[in-house]
Amino acid sequence: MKASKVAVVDYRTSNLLSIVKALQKVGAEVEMTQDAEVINNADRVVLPGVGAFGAAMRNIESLGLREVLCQFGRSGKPLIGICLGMQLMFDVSYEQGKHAGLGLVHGDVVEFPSGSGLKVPHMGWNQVGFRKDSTLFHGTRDNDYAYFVHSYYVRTDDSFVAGSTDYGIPFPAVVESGNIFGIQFHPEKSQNFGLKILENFLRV
Amino acid sequence: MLAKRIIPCLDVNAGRVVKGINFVNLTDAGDPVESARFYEREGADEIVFLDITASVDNRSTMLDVVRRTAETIFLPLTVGGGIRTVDDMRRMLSNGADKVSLNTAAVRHPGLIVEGAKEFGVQCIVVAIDARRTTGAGSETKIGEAALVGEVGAPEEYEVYVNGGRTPTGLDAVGWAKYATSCGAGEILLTSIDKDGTNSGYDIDMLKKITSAVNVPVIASGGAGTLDHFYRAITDGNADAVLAASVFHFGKFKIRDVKNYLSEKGVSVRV
Repeated sequence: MKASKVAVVDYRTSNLLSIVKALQKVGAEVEMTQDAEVINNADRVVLPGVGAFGAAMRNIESLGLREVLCQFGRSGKPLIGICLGMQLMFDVSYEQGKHAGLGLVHGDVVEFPSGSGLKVPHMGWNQVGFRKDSTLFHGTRDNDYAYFVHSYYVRTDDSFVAGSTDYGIPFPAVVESGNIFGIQFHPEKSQNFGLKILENFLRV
Repeated sequence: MLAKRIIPCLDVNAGRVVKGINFVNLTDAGDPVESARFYEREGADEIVFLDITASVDNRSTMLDVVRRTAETIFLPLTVGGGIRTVDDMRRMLSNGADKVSLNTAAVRHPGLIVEGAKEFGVQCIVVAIDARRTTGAGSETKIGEAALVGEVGAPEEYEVYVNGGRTPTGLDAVGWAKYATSCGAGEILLTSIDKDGTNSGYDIDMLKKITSAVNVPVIASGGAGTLDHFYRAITDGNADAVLAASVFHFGKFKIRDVKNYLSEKGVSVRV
């Protein structure tokens, strides 16, 4: 099989070493890029992300990548957002204010309710329950553990939720809308389960 | 459910594991990368590297260790020891560490926690606290943190020590944990100096006091000697994670043994 050309979008907010190494491990040909041309020509695009929503969107816009990513999303080629990258694909986030996202999937991003006695950020290994028969889950086990680090979560239509996790409330851990995917946890830190999901993404 | 984490800790000196894993047939038991990979296979939930290198010249060696580890294992990686500035943190994080652990430097300059949390997010900032039960002799402030004593308070039952547990600070451990959290620590790594190396169990009382005082995850460290010790740290001490070194390195238990034991007792672990 020819290695899939995967563009990992580098918009200066996060350390990309682990995600690049994980994608390479499962057989991808990876390029970290800020270049519209490279993104347009990629077979698949990964939008990673750690940090604040507002700052991430500002960086994406100042690099001129907002429309490039939206176009790629509409092209039908597989696009996956990871952690903050997943949240960026939705309409709006209420993280420290109100920020417009890429709007590729309908839904919003809100903070875990405080006062529930649960510690925020939600950090550590938690279970992902299958809600849909997603290609991303092929060869994985229902309710296996993934590594999460986040304080905000996505609210979206159930029809987009492929995998769900409970932390006081159930929230989407994996979303899927046609060629667009999102993973709230860190597959690059979730050992075999995470690697398998990335490998499956290369086969979508 | 969120799983309780089991974390092996590796001490690294000038790029080599100290007290390395001595029961398995590793090609190079002193190689931190190979040791980390071993623990990944064993089911560790996270790896902690503690850089105990004394000389500043060898700092870049640790960066190389972190990078090579992050390139080969797909688990969260925390690095502590010798991190004194935001630039030190950035170097560790950009070389593949997920979290940095601050100890002496945070006591000397709590602003470092604030700056680190602002720059990288609270989830990246672990504050390691080494503490021991006070003798009642009344500790003087030895490292000139008079201002911090005002914020944190003098030791009630447990006193914070720095410089690898050698220097008492005159600071209350519970107060310091609260203060560090208010500065932006996203996690507390709590080591009992009294218990460390004794294999007599974690300091449950201290753990309880800290876990009930802060709203961030607390990692229990120091004293693990039996499987039940891990269980008690989690159930009685309310620890979110348990860390151990020698019992794993010397092969007294496998990480799997701990997880099976906890799982049988109804504790949620990643198996």
